[in-house]
Amino acid sequence: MTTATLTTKTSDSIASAPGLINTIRSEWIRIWRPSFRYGGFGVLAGFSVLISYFIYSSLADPSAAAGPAGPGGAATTAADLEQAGGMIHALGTISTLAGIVVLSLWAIAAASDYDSGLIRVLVQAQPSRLRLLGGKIIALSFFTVLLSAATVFITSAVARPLARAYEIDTEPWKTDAAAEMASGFFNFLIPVLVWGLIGLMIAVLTRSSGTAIGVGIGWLLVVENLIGITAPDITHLLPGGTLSALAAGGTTDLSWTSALGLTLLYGAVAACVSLLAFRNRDIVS
Amino acid sequence: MSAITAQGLTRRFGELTAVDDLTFEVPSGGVVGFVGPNGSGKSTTIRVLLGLIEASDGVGTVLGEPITHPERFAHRVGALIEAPTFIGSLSAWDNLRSMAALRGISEQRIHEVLEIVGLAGREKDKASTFSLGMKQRLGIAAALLPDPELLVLDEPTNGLDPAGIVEIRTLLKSLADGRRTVVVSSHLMSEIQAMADDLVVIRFGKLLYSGSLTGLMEDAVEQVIAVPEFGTDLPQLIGAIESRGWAYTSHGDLLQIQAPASSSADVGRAATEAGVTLRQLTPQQDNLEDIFLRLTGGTDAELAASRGEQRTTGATS
Repeated sequence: MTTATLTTKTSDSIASAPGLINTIRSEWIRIWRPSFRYGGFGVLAGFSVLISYFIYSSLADPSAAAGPAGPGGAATTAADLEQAGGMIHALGTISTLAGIVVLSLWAIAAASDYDSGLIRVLVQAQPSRLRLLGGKIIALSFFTVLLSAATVFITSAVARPLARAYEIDTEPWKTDAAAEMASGFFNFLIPVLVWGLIGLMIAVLTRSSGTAIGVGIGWLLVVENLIGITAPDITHLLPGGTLSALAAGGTTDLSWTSALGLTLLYGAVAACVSLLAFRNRDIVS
Repeated sequence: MSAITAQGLTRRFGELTAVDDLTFEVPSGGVVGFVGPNGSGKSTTIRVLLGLIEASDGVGTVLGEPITHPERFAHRVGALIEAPTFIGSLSAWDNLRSMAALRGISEQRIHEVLEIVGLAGREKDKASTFSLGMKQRLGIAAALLPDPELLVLDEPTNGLDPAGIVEIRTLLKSLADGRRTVVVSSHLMSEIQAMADDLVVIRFGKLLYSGSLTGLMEDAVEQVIAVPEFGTDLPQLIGAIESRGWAYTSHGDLLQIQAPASSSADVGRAATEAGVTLRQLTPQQDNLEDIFLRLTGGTDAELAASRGEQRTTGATS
């Protein structure tokens, strides 16, 4: 029997412009469904408003302002807000929750293809699996860019009335506003995209959206905290700590540059593992 | 050119051999039934042929291209593998638009396939509101998008009511024009018998038959069932049957006469001439299921039991 001919894997590459664009267009139609659209934008808009409100309202209570660091890695003081870029200061805190939302959305987008069996039809129609998953990653990334832009916009929009209400001086916000917005957007987007890639990787490996979301959130909320107790020196290097540090613009434990480098490394590993696993595993769902 | 060929195709999952050294050929054009009971390896074979899973051994071609390079034939093949799958919150149109975009097909073709499957006018409805029959038709519409030379439908009548089955059967027959080959897998033998021109029959992953339906049906046993009105007339009836040289077996008052089904009138005439009134006179011919059971020598349970015994014997010897 000709076993040798079977062990040669189909030549597969992402690079074929028409094929990849078709895949992105196809994926976009599925991503832009109401549950994703309204769910994604609605939840992030809600988080933006609520977290912004909590940050400003906690400033009114000096003891709360002096409390322990939040998910963003630093407690917020009035002085933090009365700086250039203060209008989007809340993004550092929103980032972790946004990361969980995006992880969940990416995991659902990938694993629901397995859950529903749609993956069979997709792979039959587009046998290049790298192109299929590459198109999904690009489409989801674009969706995440829109989500992030909306979050930055809403956060900055609610900051002005909150600042007025809590007597925060907004004069410094006029200094380099565009540059501050751009850098805030970047520091928010990159970690959130990597959260998405991590969600995608877990979904491709587990082929179940529920499991993928559970593992992702469990890692962030439980495992990293447990590691933090037993080995506090490395907590800031773990995915949750690193991505939060980048979103906060760097921390005392991890500089912005180091956080960016490590975040990109986590993203690259997640993308490579996803692509390799998706390319090489049988479609048995 | 054959639509599909398989030579020694094998797929193992650990110790389980789901597809076992299959060699067959599917001719181009017409409806080809891919038949076997549940768990016989039909879906696995289809997945191997379409490149969803790799074969452990053997080779195959689809539309003349090797199955190891599905990218060479994917644009000429449409498939509905197991249950139709859609995003329920999207309309039928958007679901098809997504599949059309993936294949680089224009939206005009969506109108055409909706027309073909009888869903024109329902394209704005959400897929989640569709009945099972409508979902099957939508699945077939998606498979028809590339105007495929080979249409592979895995259990397309699964879960449908009798009216839905007839509907799908009629549709599939109309799709199998001279240019297009429609491969329909099913565990429902009667269903395949009603629509297929050719057959591939498998069980426990092994090939039982590959060829034309008429060729297989030539082996069908024909007989005539005769039951006299009064049991006391049975000896006269048997005498009349024997005098015409027909073999028979009796089960109480019932006679199974080994004669062509077309000779039932002769049996009736023989009974009348012998002065016997018949309560029942029924021509019978094996259907595909009967032939299938004869080919395999028993039902699933019987065969599974015998396989289990063989394994046990092998393990202890």
